[in-house]
Amino acid sequence: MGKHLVIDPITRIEGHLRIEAILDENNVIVDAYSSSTMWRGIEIIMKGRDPRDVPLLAMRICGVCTGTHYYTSTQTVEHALGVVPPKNARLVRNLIQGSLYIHDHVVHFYHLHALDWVDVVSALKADPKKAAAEAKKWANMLTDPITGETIQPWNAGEGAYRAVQERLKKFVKAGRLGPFANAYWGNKSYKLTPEQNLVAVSHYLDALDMQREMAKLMAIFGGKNPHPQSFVVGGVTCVQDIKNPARLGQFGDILKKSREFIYRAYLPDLLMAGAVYADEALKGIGRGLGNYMAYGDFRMDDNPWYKGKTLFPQGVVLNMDLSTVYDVDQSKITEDVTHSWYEYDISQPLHPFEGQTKPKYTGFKEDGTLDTKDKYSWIKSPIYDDHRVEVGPLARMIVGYARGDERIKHYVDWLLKSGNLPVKVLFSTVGRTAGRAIETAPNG
Amino acid sequence: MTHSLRPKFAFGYRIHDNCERRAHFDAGEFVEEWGDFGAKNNFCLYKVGCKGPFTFNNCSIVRYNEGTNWPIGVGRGCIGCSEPNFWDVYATERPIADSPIQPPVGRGVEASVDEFGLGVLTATAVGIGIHAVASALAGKRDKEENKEEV
Repeated sequence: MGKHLVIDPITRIEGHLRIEAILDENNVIVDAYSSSTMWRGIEIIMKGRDPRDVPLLAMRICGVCTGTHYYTSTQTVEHALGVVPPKNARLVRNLIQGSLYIHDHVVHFYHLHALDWVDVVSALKADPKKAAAEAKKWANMLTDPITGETIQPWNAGEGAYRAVQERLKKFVKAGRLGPFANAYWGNKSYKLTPEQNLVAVSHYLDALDMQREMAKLMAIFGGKNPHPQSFVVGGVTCVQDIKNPARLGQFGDILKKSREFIYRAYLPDLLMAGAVYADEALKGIGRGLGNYMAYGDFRMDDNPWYKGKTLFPQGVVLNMDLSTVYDVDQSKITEDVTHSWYEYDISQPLHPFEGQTKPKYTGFKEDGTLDTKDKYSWIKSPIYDDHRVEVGPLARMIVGYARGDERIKHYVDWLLKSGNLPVKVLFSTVGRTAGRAIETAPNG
Repeated sequence: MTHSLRPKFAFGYRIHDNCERRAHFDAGEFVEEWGDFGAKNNFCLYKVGCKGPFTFNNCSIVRYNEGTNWPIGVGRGCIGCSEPNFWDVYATERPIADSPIQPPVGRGVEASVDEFGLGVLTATAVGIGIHAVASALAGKRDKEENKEEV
């Protein structure tokens, strides 16, 4: 008889997620379900509101992908009203959106995702001298794509690693692991050596400081992070910050510092993890469905939103086939609620324009597990032309790559070549993580 | 503590009390619409919906992200995001006069956090009364729902 495993809540993500996995007699997962256990109700809150107020409220659906819902809903209202914001507003919005990419990807890699790969306790066994050599090895694999110089490690000396180890020892000795408590330390799926773990842990701790700085990038022109406030329908309000050379200088300084961290810590660590877990990546573990969609991001000209050129191109790639890219056709997007705690007036998926949000909570089964035959999640199921597609950083990079976008191709090839990895490696969990890093590199 | 049981050191003052644009409010210099002369010269944002006079928080003192900036600094105005019922009464681009929230009776925007609290408590007491009646009516239904959950 197999087991029914419930993990709820899943931590180190934004939101409320529950996973249930069905295991067979040999402890192999044969089926798995995910459920969003909290309802936000933003659509209902929006009903009857002045469209100008919508962006500020819609943004509050999430404090991690902060600003991006703000930006999108502002553009949506502009689209509906036929408003094109002035050039300076477009540039400032791009800066704010870019600062989100930098901050979010670094936080995701180190503070949310890294501990799936990095065994913090194992770092205690590391030799600091060897750790310094290890850090140098991975950093030196990269050359700066602009200056052509060899990248040097973020923490170069043996002393830096010894200090991190001392800090960790104090955590363990006090019996309070803090952010590192309740993990699966020592599990055999952790594959990094103690030295590699120590390098990654040192960057984890440094990234706590760095992300605080990166958040300021958004605050300079946005007012704060999370939830910037300077976008209005038709433009931005931060006139005095745009005009102020000290503000521009501050932005430049933090951006430079962020770039240093990205190139000397984040990207080398990614190569290290990618190489150590390359076998998993090549097997395609965690690749999902292999369908990718990107809407396009970062406005490059002052044409209306839906007609303009974007830094990251839009497109759809199906079944991991990089030879064909389809244009995104929004009319093919629908949302299905068969397994979601909502009901529609008609029993077929609806296009968002015709969308309905009528909650219908049916609860859990009597044994406390998800009723997966019926409704079991607060998330509607989005469909693109009968396909389930992945969106996000990896999708943007794959669509850009398949389109032959020069900039994206350059950065993807540059990083993969540095780590001696084939393109195939992208279709995996490692690849999804790499997608974020690749996207961060040109931003930094 | 304030009326909503928040510490006064942080929630005891209005955003308005320590606002860097307060002088423009006092001088009657307002941003009338986005991008106008006032917007370019850091005038007061009251008329484009700033809720600073009704929001008790210390944003105007400590700002955000280690003092980097804050909403009024970027010319948008406060939306009262830490106030009760923020969703329904504060987050609008309209001036307070056009908003459901009204100044407490008496000294208006000059009222202290305690006086403001008194107004809120009175409103709450009325609300509790209404709620009690509504609960009694809904009581039977609640019991049935609870039963289902068990």
